[in-house]
Amino acid sequence: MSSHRLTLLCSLSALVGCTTTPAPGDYDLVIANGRVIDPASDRDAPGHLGIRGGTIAVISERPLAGKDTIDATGLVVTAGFVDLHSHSVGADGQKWQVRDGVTTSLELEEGSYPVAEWYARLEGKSLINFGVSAGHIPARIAVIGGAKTLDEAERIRGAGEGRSPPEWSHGPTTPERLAAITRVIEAGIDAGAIGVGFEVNESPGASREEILELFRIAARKRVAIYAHPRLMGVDPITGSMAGAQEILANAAATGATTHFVHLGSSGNIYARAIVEMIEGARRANLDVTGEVYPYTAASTGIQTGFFDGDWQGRIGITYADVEWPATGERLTAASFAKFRRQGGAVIIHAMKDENVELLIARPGVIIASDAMPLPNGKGHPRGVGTFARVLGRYVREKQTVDLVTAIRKMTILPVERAQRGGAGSLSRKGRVVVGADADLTVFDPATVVDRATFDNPEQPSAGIPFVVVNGTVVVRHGELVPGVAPGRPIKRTYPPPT
Amino acid sequence: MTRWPCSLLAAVASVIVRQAAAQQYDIVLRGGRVMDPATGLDAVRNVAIRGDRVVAVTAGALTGKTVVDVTGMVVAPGFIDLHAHGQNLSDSRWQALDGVTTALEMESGAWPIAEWYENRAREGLLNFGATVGHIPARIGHFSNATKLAEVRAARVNSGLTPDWSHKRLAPNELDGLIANVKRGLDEGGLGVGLGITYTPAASPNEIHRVFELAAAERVPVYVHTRSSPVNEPGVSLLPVQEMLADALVTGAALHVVHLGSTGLQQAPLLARMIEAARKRGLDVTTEVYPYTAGSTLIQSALFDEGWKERLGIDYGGLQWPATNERLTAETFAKYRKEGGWVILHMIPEATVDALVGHPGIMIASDGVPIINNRGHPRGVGTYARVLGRYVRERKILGLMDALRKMAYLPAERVRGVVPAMARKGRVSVGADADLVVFDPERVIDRATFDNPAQASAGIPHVLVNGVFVVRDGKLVDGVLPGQPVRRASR
Repeated sequence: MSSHRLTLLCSLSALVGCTTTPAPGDYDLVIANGRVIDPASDRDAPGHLGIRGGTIAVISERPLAGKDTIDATGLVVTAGFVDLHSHSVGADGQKWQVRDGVTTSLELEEGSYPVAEWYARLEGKSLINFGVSAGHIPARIAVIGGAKTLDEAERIRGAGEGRSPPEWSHGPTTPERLAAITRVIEAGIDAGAIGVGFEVNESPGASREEILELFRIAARKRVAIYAHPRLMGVDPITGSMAGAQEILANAAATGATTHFVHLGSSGNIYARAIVEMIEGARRANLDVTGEVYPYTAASTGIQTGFFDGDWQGRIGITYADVEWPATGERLTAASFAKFRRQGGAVIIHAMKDENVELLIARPGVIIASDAMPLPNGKGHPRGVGTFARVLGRYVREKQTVDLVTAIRKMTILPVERAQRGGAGSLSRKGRVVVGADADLTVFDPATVVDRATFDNPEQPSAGIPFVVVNGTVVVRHGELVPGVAPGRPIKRTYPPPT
Repeated sequence: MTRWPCSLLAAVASVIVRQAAAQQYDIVLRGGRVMDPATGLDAVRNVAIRGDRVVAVTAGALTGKTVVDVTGMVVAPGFIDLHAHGQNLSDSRWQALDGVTTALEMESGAWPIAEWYENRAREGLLNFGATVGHIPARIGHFSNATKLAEVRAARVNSGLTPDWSHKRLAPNELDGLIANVKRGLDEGGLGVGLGITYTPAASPNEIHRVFELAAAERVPVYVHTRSSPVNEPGVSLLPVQEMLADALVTGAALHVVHLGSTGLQQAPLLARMIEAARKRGLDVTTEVYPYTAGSTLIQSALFDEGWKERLGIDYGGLQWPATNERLTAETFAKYRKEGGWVILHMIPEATVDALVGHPGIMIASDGVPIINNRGHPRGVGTYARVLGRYVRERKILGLMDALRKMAYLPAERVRGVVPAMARKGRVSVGADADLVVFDPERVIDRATFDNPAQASAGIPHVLVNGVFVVRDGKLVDGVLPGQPVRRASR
């Protein structure tokens, strides 16, 4: 047999999935004996993965030999989870998220400015893949607040309300400001940002025209909008329905690809109506999606516009539903006033589990964490336990959604969303196929569960023994592997893949 | 073969045609400048009418039983007004003198629909039709009124915060209201009319349900958007954003009425949003009237708390037509208790210019009744005003563009529900003989805010279904050629 024919035979064998057993060491890493679930390719079958040079080189029914082998007997092997919504992409957040199975964490709602500095900060130092949008609030902080660096911007963003609301959030739109904000956002996209993010209820000075302009920029630059609405809450006329309608109208007028963040907290009691509206927009050939995190409490800065005016009536809660994480205390009028001047994230117990379940079960709704930093080990647990919580509590215990659908919502759906939103370099992620990036999560479907709680969030998820990022093992036997930083930047490619 | 037999044949044929024509044409409009916005025809032509149709448009000579020399005049399709509240003989006469041949009540609409069409047929000077009104259907829902007169009485005599406008319906209470609207569509309503400003309790959910019904029935929604929220001073984009979202999500066709008074300073931006949505494939249209003042009922919810901030005017911006006085806090309170039509001087001239000049935005009058010779002049002079002031004097738009906005585009808007509208808004063979003849050098509105009961000038002839309703500038007595424009029952 000529070598030519041998090569051909091998290729054919690979195509039908039965390779000859290679010599030991052919692969950098082998994940053996797992149940490989890949919703993107409709795979749910036992198999062995051979990884070479950071990519999946083979998926085989027969055992493989590698320099390093993970025994995944009894475990599920899936693409690593892709989180579209993390405010904790830095080192502190990564160490929790990666043990929750996350291999790519993107800051798309808040976004950033300056974008180049944001990427540079993580370059070569990141456990997991990372990316960011051009943020509207950071742009306002730059244009109105005068921030020139990330540190300045973050300091201004986190500061307490003081005597009066800050100008960067509550100052009105002017033609000059809008032109400058537009320039800053466009520069961010040109620097690689993979979308435009806004949270307009935390920057209530921004007019509706200013927000519409963000959609125009996104449409022009062919990146996605990541939208946190202006109006949220239970009021039938000025509540969450109206908030969603502003976003949908802007999408209709501009054609911008649009993603609704955290539908649970934005949708409140109107979650079903809003998810149905999003589906209607998709039927009208607009690219509109949404996401949910699996908790009945929200979190945001107590100093922000979220708490302007009659927030109790608006959201349908009282002081006692607001928790100060540092002490675990529920607030009163007096402690609320004190903490609002001081500033800091609070936990807001505002949602009904039936609405959270509805969104988790709904086909097409993506799982994303909205991870928040945990200063002094306190804060919302969603940055630590979101993905294991879905797999443990909503798939296994409540059977809200089946395992394969849940994995789809954590892998290929967020990848395709961000990819169509301009993040072309995600095209080899979110899938377990030959040639894909070896971002892999190995978990035990019988035991996987979140352990992070509102009282004590710094407890990593259980039942996720192995996580691989670009072919490098970053979690082994549930422990962080020291001294590795295989994460790579996810940046905009233009034009986006269709 | 020599040529002469051919010529002879042609000559004989010509004689035959001329003789036939002399017998069969009822009316010939001779020598006018025919302008047809549907085809772009703009040339001197003779127009022949037989029965209720145009049967010839030709450069050749025509004779008929009645021949009218219209040399120097424009012959155009009669104007189609999508927004005419003056649905009675008196107001139809003012509109006829303004060149209108079809006057439709699309915003407020009517309910019950069958009774409305029966009543209207008794005084059909112009072609007439209506949508199913969400407001009258809501009045029916809350008051159990089943007759037009009962519904009308409830609308004007029910105080400042009646249930029909100020009481919310929970999601599980909406079925009865939706059934009312559905019945109106079954009876021939041309779509659904919404005046959400006047029913502030109607939640986005309720309105969404109406859009879902309209989408299922394949009829458009004609909407006066909700008032801006109190915490967004001036004109918020939200009310139009709500409508665009509903149209997008349900697939219902959407027509936003009087964008000038709805949008005020923001109207050009709203027009850009609507146009962008249309270019992206949504069936969304809008209209404007050519005046810098609006008009509505002073007792309506439009004047609920916060109106000065929303509209950017004070009491002095309000005119009471009966006396022509400008209002004060005291007189406002008095008249709000009494009720009646008020004129609101609030629309920036730049907005009116931008919208009237926009090639895709229709002209519609929003004409309200002229009572005791008083009221907003738009029901008397809208069309002549566009032709005289905006086309001829200020050259804000071309004449053909204006005709397109006043006849062809409104016909196309209604055509999806009434296929026979393909015969209106046109001057061509087979079209309905709804025609207006005007003098482009003289046409002008004469109705003013202080003295509206002055008919437009420079419009000598108007025909509705082949019948003169205006001839030599005067109303023709004893004719009622108007036909219903009505959705075919399904």
